Amino acid sequence: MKRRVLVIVPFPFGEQGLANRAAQSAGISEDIEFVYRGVKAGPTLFDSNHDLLIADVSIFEAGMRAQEEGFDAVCIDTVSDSGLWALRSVLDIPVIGPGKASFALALTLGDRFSVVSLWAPWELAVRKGLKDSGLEAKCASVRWVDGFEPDVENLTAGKEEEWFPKLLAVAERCIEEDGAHVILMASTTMHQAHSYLAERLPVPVLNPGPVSYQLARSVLDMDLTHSRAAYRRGTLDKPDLLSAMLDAGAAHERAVGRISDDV
Amino acid sequence: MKILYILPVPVDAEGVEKRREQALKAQLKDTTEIVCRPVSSSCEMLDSYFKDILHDYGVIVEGMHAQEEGFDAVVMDTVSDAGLFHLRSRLDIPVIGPGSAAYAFAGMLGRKFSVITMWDKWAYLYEKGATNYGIKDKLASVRSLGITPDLNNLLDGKLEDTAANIVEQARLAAEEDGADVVLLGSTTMHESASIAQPNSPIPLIDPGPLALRVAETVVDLGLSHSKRAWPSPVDNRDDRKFVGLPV
Repeated sequence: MKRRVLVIVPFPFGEQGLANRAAQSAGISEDIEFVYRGVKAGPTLFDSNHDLLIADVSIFEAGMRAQEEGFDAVCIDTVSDSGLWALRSVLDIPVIGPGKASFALALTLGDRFSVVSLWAPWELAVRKGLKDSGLEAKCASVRWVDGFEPDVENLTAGKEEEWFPKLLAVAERCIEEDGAHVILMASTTMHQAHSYLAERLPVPVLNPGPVSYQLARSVLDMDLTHSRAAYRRGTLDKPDLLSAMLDAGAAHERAVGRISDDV
Repeated sequence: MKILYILPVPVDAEGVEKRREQALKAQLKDTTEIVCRPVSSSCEMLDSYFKDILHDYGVIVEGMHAQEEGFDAVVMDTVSDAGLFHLRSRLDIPVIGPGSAAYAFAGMLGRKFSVITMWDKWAYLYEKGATNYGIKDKLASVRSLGITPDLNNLLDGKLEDTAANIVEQARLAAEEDGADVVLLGSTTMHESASIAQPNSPIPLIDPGPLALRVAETVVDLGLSHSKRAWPSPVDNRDDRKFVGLPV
């Protein structure tokens, strides 16, 4: 039977926005169906602790019933791995974040890695992920280009010519000046830049979304999941509280015009 | 895809088949072929830094031409990762070590891990590996079953007892050592994994199948190890290789 993996997109997207994200799992596996689901209400740009808090809550709410819904695993479509720790505390099925997955694969391909970003404020989430994983010492650097305006729905479409070379120059500095053995991309929203970088850089370049899908598949096939000892279950979970919060939040976002009616 | 799986000891045909079982557990694609190749000579039983060199040597000799032989990746059948760094410097195709892959996966599934191994004489290998990979702070403990390994017949006649012992050591690793994840310290223990895994209180990683799976994934993603970490030799010196050493 085909296995189903829930991929949580951290924004309340419509069809096109989800399709842009779903492009990441093309060709990964014929025996797994990747189901993309947006959150009911989400952060704006992941550029502050405020946004990361909203992301944790909204991603958790979108995935907290994945096991009873019949999914075999959950992937989170943000390198910040927002919601990962909380989801692992309530789910027995594997919950895989592109951040942790990329760090793990990077360390099988090199001794230290750098993270390149299209936007300076995303450094916050990258540093937080490194700290949570206890891998700060393995990160040679986090570098970014100046002046890019992120578009989490349309991603980098139409901006390739101007921005991909700048991103390449930043990655080259990571390798030549900082000693990076492997390059990671700071955001799954940058996935369209992956092949451009991979074709031009002398080191492995990891595309965090596909890496997380491949490792989720491996974890499933090996009959593994995250450790309950590391992600303890609580005494009394309150999924109904989280649902009520997000339902009210989504209604509010619609009322103030932050979520369009076609979502 | 063709992956060379180097067995670090000169086992007989039956021994090869016992090691090959790991490929089935890895649930690789139908299009992935695993070629199991035992070394023609080695120190056999690894038990010291001195023998590490002989072990490295055996694996290097079998793997150093893998690229020109048409392989897409190389994996060594040992958690010691014998020959890993040397082959990575020599080859452009991915070379994956079960130890390195298992440590990385353990870090993805939990915070700290313990290694459960056959006997105390192998404990130094995990200290060495974790130190080399810069993750010693994540190694909670090394626990030994106190069983002398049989490199050819593996766990024949002692499978159930070994699996039960592994589960008990996993429990102790979790309760006394603070481990969130355990991994088998040797691919010679792989037969016990499927019995022990369902009963282990924390995730139990079987490094051999995992490494094969990681190798397939790395090839699928168009990746390889970083040449900045393992630079190629300026001159392979094939004309002078290993002069005077027995092959």
